[in-house]
Amino acid sequence: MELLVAAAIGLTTATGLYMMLRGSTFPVIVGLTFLSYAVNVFLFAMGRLAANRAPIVGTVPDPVDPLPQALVLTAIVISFGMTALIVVLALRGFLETGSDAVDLDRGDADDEDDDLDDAAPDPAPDATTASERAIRFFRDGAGPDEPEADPGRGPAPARPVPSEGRP
Amino acid sequence: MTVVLIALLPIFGAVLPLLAAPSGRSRATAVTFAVTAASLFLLLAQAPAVLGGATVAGGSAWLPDIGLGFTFLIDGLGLFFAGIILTIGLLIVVYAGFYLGRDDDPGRFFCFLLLFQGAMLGVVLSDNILLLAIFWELTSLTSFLLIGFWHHRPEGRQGARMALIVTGSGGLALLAGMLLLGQAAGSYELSEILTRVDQVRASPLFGPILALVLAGAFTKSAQFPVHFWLPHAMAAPTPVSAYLHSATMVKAGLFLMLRLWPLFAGTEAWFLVVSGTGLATMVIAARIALAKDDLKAILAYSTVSHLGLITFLIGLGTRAAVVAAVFHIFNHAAFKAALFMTAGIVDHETGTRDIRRLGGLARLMPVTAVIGTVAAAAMAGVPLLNGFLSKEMMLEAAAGTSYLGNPWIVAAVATLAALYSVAYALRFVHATFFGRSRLMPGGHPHDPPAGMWLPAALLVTLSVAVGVLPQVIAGDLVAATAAAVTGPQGPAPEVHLALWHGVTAALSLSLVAFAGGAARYALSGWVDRFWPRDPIPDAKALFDAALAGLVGAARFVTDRIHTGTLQRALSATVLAILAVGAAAFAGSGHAAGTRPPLPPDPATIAGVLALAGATLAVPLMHRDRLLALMLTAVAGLAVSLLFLRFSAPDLALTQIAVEVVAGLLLLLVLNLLPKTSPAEPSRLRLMRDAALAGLGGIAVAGLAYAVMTRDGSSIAAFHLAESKPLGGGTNVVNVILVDFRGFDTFGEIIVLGIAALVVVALLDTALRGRAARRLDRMRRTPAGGDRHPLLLAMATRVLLPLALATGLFIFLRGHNLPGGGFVAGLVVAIAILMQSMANGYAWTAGRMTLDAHALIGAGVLIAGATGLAALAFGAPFLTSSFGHFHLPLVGDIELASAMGFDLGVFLTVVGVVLLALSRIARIEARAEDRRPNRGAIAEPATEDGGR
Repeated sequence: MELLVAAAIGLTTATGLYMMLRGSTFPVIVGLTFLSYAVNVFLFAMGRLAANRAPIVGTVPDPVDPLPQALVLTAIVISFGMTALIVVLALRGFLETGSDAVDLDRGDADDEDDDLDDAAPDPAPDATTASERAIRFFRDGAGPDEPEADPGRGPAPARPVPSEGRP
Repeated sequence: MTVVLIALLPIFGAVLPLLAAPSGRSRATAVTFAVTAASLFLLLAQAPAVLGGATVAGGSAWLPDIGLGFTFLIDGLGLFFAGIILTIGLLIVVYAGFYLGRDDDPGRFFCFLLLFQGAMLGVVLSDNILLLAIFWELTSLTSFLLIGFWHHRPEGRQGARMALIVTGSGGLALLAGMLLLGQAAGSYELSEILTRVDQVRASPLFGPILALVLAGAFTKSAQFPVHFWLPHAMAAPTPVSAYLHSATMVKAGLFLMLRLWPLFAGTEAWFLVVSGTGLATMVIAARIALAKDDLKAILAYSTVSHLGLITFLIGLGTRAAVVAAVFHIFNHAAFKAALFMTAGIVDHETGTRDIRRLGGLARLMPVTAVIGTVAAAAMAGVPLLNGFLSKEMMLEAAAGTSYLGNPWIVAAVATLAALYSVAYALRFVHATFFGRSRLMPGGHPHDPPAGMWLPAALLVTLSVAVGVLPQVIAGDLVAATAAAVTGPQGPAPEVHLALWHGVTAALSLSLVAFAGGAARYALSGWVDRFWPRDPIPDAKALFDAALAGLVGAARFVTDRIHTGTLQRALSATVLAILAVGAAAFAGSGHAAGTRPPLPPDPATIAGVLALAGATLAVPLMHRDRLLALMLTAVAGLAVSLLFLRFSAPDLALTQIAVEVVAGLLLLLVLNLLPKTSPAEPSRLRLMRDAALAGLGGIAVAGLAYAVMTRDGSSIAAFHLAESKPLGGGTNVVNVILVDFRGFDTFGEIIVLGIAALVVVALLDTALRGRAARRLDRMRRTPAGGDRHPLLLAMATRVLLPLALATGLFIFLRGHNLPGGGFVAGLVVAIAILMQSMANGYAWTAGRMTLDAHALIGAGVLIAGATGLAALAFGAPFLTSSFGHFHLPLVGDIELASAMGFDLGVFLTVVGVVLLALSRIARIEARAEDRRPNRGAIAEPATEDGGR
């Protein structure tokens, strides 16, 4: 029986890992779900397997270790919260970019419908990365009144405010 | 208790200026003054006892396990420093009340000032050295806020940041030093540590302790070569400069060295490092001060120089030098604060602090000129003023000291520093108040209102009084302080402050300094031609370059690691974990354990086969996303059956409920996402990923098998034995969740609540901009016929009460039988969701008056309140209690307070699920409400779903 459960844990882990290495969001989420299964059963198995010895005081003479069960119960609920969050993140990402690729170098390929931007010009992608902004901050403070002329990159383009796009 | 109040009063009082500020600057000034005065009053009430030699202690334990105590003490040294902090504080408050401009927010300023004052008092009054380190950091933080008070000015922000980085890193070093010191001494209480001098000195940690403590002290007190932050901190408003950067904060390093003086003084390392650094700082800063043109820069470098002087004295390690150091701290606080106020007045009146544009102010501002001149004379060490006395004592000590076998170098360097100090004091006075009158940007300068010059005048009067009658005015205070510094071991230091000691070596050196200083100033035009004015490289440029280098290195590393591809990052992570595991595996035995296995039975085999089949099918067929989702659900179902089979009914219930909710969620989202995944570009990549995943799976399976076939020890016995007696329930898993590990659960429901709020944030904003336009373009045709089949709608309506009752039942029995808040919450949420599915989101939302946000909030609050209720009965947070109650008719029932906690869990879970799914449904509605034909029952959905 232990061998069966160990094999099940191994299989779910392998599927979870494989799916998480895919290139678009939905398979990654499925992979995450499988990995959660694997981790939960693994943690649960750390309390050792036992049949008909549920940890209810007074019902069986020798109940099984309840602590891994309590930990896994929390883990199941937390995984649900995580899945909800990440799936919504994926949805929002798709709605914004039209692509559900997880990689920066393959994503952002907006589909052909350029007229998505009919109401407002597409905000130019902000050239400043987080690290550049950090450098700017550390060099001279992040004051709104102090636009820093950076010879290499030029000033950060101001983001036009996207208008309410309800045609 | 009074001792604690002295430090805490300003910290808690810091809110008062904020409250008073709307009714005017003078009101804010007044409350700040009152708070400071109250604290000073409490301090002075202790003064007679402390001056008599007693030590007043107070406070309470905080985290005794790690040696952190909330303990304070006042001895002579603490009284001395706290007295300076509060007295100068009072004067600064008055001065600042007049100084602040119309655009400066007095509430914010005085709030920061009081916070700083409290932190500073904490530093000098702490008994526990960890508490001291905490207050030390607080002074760094509050001084950051004060230096950057004019945050619209770049130099203010840069100066504040530099000060924070330098003093903050020094604070970290100090914390490390304090931890080591506590280990070496076996106690974290100063009063204990100072009695264990021999033990600390014998410890192998002595060297590191000395180095780390000095790193903290030197950075705070701006000693060479980390002196450069102090001049840049002068971008602060002048009251801040006068208070923090001359009288108090920069003295914290000196305080620390004095506080720990008995531990270190007399050792060779202490003498060489501390005296050497002090001497170097003294002369280098004095030389730079002479080359500066900004009044405040002159004063800043002069302050650095004087701090060096005191550091030098502390490093000598003799009792006479301690007396001189204490006395000079007192004198310097008086005249330097007065000088800063003078500089502030000049700046205020003329609009400039540039010495090259000033001149002849004595006629226009006679009062200010007198104050400034006398204070500068004290700084130069002119007789009959306090600076003269302590400088004589310093020169006397220097004349008798040989450094590294050289008997005259100390005296020579000290005299040179004194010479420069005379020269820059002369320049300060002469170029500002005398000489040719110039046109100044501020128009016609004149003496400010009395409130602005009176504080400076008081300080100058004190300087003169001490200069004339030193023993009468300062003798007792200096004696008590010096005695507290040197500690009970050995004789108390002799204090004899007098104006005239006869013709001594010090007097000759003093005369040399005066003559040389005057000559140096007179000839400065000539000297400057041969010696560039800035002989030392600009420390700020070096600092900026170092910082930019650090940031550049960090960016280089970040850019290498964070390449923007999730796949590469995940592969690297998996590989790394596999490598670590393989290394551990290779180095140990591989045999399976000997625990007797459970015999397999057909039902379990079937369950595992179902799980294996679904799991294996997913990688092969996942490109059809709906199919992948179905297979996932099969796997989840099999997992919950496994839980049930192996004695975990609670897990099985939770898993299956979560399975339903998560499945609904994924279905709803998939509705808006592409239905198929794109084909993978490279076969090689697939093989590689499969190999990685396979290796990972084998590793985890082997690990699990190895553990399951061995016996292990567990803390289960405690939980099983105490579940009923302590927690009042027989379902041990539930008792662990709501009682033994209730804090975990409390954190967990908060995390869930936050996750739901993030979902709301992500989706509510998706109704605008590009996302909304894309939604509007999605014209999807329904796959089936009727969106809301009548049969389903009617069935769910009938089932609703039944489902709610089931939820209630599971909730109530949870403490003793499988069930509980999590499962019950999920069941109830599913019941309500079914209504949405069957009847349409808008229909359900219109009939549901529950606000999901409020549910989450109420859940967390109820759980927290249940935990807090235990505190009211004197038990730790989340201690549960239970009892039997007898109700008429119903009979004997048992109620546990954990039930309240579980109710909180229940409400949070319901709220989270409903909130997350309702927001997704709202997005769906946005995509769908353009279709003409709606379901049979659904009512017209408005934009936000009929709410």
